[in-house]
Amino acid sequence: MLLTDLEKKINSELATKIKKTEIKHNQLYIEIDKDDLIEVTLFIKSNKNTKFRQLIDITVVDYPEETQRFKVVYLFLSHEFNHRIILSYFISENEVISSLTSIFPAANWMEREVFDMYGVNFKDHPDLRRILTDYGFEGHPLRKDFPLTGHSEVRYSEDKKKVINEPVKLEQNYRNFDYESPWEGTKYISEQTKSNDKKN
Amino acid sequence: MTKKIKNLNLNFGPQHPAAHGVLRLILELDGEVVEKADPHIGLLHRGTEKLIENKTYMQAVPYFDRLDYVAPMNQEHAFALAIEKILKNRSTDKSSVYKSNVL
Repeated sequence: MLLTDLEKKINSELATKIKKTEIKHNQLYIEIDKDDLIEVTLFIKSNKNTKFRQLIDITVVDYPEETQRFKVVYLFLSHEFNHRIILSYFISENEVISSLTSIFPAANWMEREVFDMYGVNFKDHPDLRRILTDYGFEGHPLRKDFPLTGHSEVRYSEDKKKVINEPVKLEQNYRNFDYESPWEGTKYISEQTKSNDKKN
Repeated sequence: MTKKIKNLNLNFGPQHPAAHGVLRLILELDGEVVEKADPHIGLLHRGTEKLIENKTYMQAVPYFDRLDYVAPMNQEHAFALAIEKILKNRSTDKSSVYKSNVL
């Protein structure tokens, strides 16, 4: 089955549930409404012409300037037809979305990761805890407003004889190497030297 | 006389010679049978995605070697193919041969 046929098929069977479909990079992208997730997944999993029976990944894209800030993305694979589709929908920051664990048990850890990294909450998830970050960690690291260096750093304190958390203190700022003209130094350094020359 | 048998809760790791890296498991044992396991998998997590977001495509390549030290080139290859796909940049036959050679 061709990708365009698959697109037509899904569009005709799920007409009311699909917001937009698009073929890009030889892949089918489907946009739905967050309330239709369970129905759409059940359909594409069980329908004999699609059989998307493997959930590859769940992830989120953060667009901090939008009101509907998060784009939740699901990747499915159909072994029978050798097709992949990308299902997505937008939600705002404090919206709770339904869990896919009842249909795909593999969604359990993926949703835990999404919860940990982006702070998106799932309804009916059996065990929604942090999965990748440290014990007692605060914040959601893959949000765009989370700094690259993080907020706290961990070290062993010789005085207290235990591992402690401290605010991050960096010896040197984050630097970007300028490949275009490495001998002039990076932009912000040349600006600094210019302003210093003016003062002198 | 009745004997009371209790399940044993066991902490495995984070450092263990059989674990191949850092992995902590909270195990609930009934004799030798593992009834339940709660894996804590994040001990080696360093946020590669976030680091790569702040870098150019070429600077991102070495991060993929670190993802799987048993098969680093496969990870790099996947990244290269993904970038070529989104840039709609069909690579030359020569570079495809090179890419196959390192796998």
